[in-house]
Amino acid sequence: MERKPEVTAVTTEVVMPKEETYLSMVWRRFKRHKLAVVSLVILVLLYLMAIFAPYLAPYHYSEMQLDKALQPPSAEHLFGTDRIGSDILSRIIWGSRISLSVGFVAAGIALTLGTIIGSISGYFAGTVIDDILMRFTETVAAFPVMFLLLTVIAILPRSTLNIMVVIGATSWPNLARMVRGQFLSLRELDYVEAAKALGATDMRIVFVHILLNSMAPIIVSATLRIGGAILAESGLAFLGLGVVSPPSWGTIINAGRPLLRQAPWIMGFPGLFIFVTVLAFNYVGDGLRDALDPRATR
Amino acid sequence: MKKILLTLVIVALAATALVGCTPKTPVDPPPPPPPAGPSVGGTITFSIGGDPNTLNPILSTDAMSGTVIMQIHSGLVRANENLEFVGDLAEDWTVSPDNLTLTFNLRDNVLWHDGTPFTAHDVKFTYDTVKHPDYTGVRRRDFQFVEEIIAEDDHTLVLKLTQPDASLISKLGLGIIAKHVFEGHPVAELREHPASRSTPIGTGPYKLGEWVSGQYLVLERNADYFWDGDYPYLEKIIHRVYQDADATLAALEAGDIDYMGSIPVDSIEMIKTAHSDRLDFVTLKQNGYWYIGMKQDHPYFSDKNLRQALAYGLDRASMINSLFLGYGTVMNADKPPISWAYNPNLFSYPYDKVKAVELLEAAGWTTVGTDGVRRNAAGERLSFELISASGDQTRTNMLEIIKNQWAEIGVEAKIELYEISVYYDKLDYGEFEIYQWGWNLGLDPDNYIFFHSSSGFNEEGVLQGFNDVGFANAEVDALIEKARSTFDQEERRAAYWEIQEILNEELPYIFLYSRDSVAALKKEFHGEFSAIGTIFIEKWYKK
Amino acid sequence: MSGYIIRRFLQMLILLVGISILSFSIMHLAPGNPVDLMTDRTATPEDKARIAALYGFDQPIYVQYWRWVSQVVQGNFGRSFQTGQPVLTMILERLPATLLLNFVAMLMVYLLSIPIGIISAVKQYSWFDHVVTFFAFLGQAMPSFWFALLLIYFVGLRNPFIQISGMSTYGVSLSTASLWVVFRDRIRYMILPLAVLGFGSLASVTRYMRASMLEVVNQDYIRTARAKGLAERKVVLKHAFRNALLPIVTLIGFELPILFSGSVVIETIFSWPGIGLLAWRAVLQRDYQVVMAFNLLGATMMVIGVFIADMLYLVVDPRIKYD
Repeated sequence: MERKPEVTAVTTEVVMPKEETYLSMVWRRFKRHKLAVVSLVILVLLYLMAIFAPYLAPYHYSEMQLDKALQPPSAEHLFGTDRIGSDILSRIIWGSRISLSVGFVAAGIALTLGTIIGSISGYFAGTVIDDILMRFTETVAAFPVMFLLLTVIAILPRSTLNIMVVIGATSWPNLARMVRGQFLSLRELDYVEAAKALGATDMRIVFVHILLNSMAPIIVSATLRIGGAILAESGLAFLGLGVVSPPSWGTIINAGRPLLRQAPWIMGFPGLFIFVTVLAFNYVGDGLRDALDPRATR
Repeated sequence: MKKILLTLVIVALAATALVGCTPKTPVDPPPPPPPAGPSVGGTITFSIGGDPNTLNPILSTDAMSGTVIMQIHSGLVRANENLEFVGDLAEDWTVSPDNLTLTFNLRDNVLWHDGTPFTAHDVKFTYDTVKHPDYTGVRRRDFQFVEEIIAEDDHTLVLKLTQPDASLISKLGLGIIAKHVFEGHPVAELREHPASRSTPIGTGPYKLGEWVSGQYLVLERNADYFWDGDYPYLEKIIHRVYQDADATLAALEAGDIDYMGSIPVDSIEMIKTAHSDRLDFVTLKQNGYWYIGMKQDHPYFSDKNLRQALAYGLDRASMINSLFLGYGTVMNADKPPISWAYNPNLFSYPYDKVKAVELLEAAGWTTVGTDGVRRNAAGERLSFELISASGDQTRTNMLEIIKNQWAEIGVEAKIELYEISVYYDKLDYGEFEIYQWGWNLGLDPDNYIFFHSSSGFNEEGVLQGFNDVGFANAEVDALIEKARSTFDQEERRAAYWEIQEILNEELPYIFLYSRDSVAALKKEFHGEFSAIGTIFIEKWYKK
Repeated sequence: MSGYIIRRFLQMLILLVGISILSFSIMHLAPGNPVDLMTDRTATPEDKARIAALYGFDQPIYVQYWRWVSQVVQGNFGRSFQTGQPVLTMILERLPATLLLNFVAMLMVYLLSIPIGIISAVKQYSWFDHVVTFFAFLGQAMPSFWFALLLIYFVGLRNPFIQISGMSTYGVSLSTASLWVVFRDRIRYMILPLAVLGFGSLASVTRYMRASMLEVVNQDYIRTARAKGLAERKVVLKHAFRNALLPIVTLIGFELPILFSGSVVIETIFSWPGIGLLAWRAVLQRDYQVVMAFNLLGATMMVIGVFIADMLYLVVDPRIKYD
């Protein structure tokens, strides 16, 4: 239900040195943010875990041992077992595939929609096209997001793809506004004027010059958006609207909720994974912000 | 070995748990000291899962509304501790020799909560409203064979039937609404009438006091209640809203509520250990059952061998033990053990993988592929989609177990869960191969709506009743009709026993189990129970 | 200036039309209608078709929309299909609970986060700043429902004073008990939901305040003020604080809808009898009228909130151009 204007105090300057040196500069600056680097490592590990889930998980996610139900963490079951004796660790490892990909794809969808709508609107600022697009953006933005998600997901058939699309389709408005803002501030700049004077076509001006120079805040915002999407999915899953097989992390928590007292480990561990993952994305986003913003010094 | 031992321990534990709480109905007050007789006074606090949708008996469909309505309204009849129907607003009734005319002799000392005398015209008004074309509730089918409702005088009501219908009596527990309150109001807007919600007028033991949405309802004693004696005893009933079983359980432990109807299975032992000094426990049976329904004209499931193989391939007893810690009973046909029509001599389809495989092979599923799934001569895989509704963890767990056990005999069930209204749509339009669901039943054993062939899909593909599996068996049809047309219980019982035997053999459903629940009541209260739930709220009292 | 206001106002109206269409179509284009959900399948398909026709669900969608919208314009949100009550009454019944919780949470959050944010910014990179930043990150990454479950497990179930469900004890009201007793009773119920609600937004508002303050502190006029030799305290409180507060003022516009909308997750976990819970049950029961009204009102609040934020900005920041 968060709906605060974003804290992206990034003002981009026109940086057009050679690609390689720019990237290495970004990396050098990123490295100074210790927590961001640690977070990046954690994220890489998490994604590797998702990719190699079948090899890493000690059991299959749906394997059950009815005589081993509700076992507390032990050497045999590091994170304990659930109501039908499935291994929680294995469910978390398999579940990372759902949770992490939902975050990534949903953020990708939001990024795509936001960039397209924001840049068209920004380029045609002041025209009817801009007006229509912005009213549309505001309409979507005006809805109580979490509730809109709940309504739509409750109604649609439950599938990973639907959940991704719906989360993505409801979280682009802020991005669109931001991109539009970038366009407004950039299009008056000298080099765009210069490009225009040199006879560049509309599309080239839009996509080559301005978009490239708006990359920094877009990337930062998209990174943060991944964490947001993972949180959104887990919230849906907690209310019983998540992916069941393999279970997303939120789904595991939902299953553990009625067993909070008997088996707190069922909801405890997956929650920790969500928490750490989102935290890591936020730190990486923060690190990127510092690294991409040439003004910031530390 | 260790595994076996553990299993044994669990089974033993579950068994003792079962023995330890055989249903005692009703709960007797514990032996003195001091023998406190019933007297007027006291407040009891119940929990409720949410606001009732309506307090109008003829419109109610949800459990929350039903609970509160029962305390505010009365019907012509009600069920007693033995689940038999006895008069409530009706003193008694007679059935004509041709079974087509029912004459009810109504009580003459009944007052509505507003002081107006209750008469046969109120009953006629209620039933006429249900039969009205603009009626937006779901009780119309209950009165489908009632041709005419006649109030002969203020205290005599006559029902004329088009054909004998023995199940009708059980439907007459429906709460009666007051003619003088609702008369003249458009039937289509009955739900909007204030007396359907905020100012209900009933003839029951309690009147609505305060109702704070989302928090609680308070019912107050109706001093003019018509049953002789000091009834009702309790001065006040509070229904407090709790969103879920966990919150309710915490409230029970904290002493914020005095009664909980169904303790979550995993917490029963804990509560019994910790609170047996101040709580009494009652085991209540489910008047219903869970099952797996198979489309009867499906290319695979039309083969009885396959249906039976699937039954042999499920270890239902161990499901009950592991999922419900023994609180449940394996079902083999459509009558739960608490029904007077229950046939105890049915075949039990014990868990037997060898027998299951034999039957699968007899059904033509002879080879097993590298993926472990059986194939027939045409090379088709024995794989299908098993659907159910999302939103319940126990159901999800049960489906996982079913899927795993069937996989062991080479059957692949792909589980798909749908949002509940979408799911109902799929059943209503027959868009499924095999599904899992449950029924809560009425007290009358009539099962026309479930298993009679004319309750299936008609020529236009519209489902007429709830026979969504399309079960069609001429013998069963005849028996159902026969059992319905007589009021003689022995005759009816014989017919239902025969129906159960056929269902047990034909398996349109794989009958799974009916569940038990454990209720807890604070020791300072005396409660009244039947085998399936609370009854006679006016006889509850504080010791 | 009035031209600007009128234009914004017109835009707002267009927005509301769009919102009403979206609210309506989400519910009506979806499969399943409330008649399908007659509990336990007590209604046969034949019954359902008849009832659906009585409620007009079989009419073309634009007819249904027009009927709905023309009522809404007159302030009539229709009646709930499930309870027969006027939707507005249902919402107003639940509003106080949501308002109370969210208002107290908001008050708490702003009282805490503004000073914390300022100190954090003024003493950038101090240990205090690091701790604050760290906790702000935690607060933003923590799934609220998980935090709520942890609190219930570690605090609620172990401390008899703290209640984990509902918002008041029956019988404890101002007519029967003293103010203190009532207050104490409400606190017992509010403590956990408040903690969950507060922690999340405390984190974001603090970060926002910090960022805004940093922005200002680095501006030329502050440097000038410092260079003039003004006391640091005075610089911070008088000059920097006032200007840094501008963006926070506009946040209040955004808070408006949050105050009214309630949180489904928190209200479900703690059985808090607010609007979120009402709306969630309505979604599950396909109670069209309630869901549409909730979406429409929520979105309208949002639009009005943004409008107010814009107007506030206009008032407090003379640099804004309006054409």
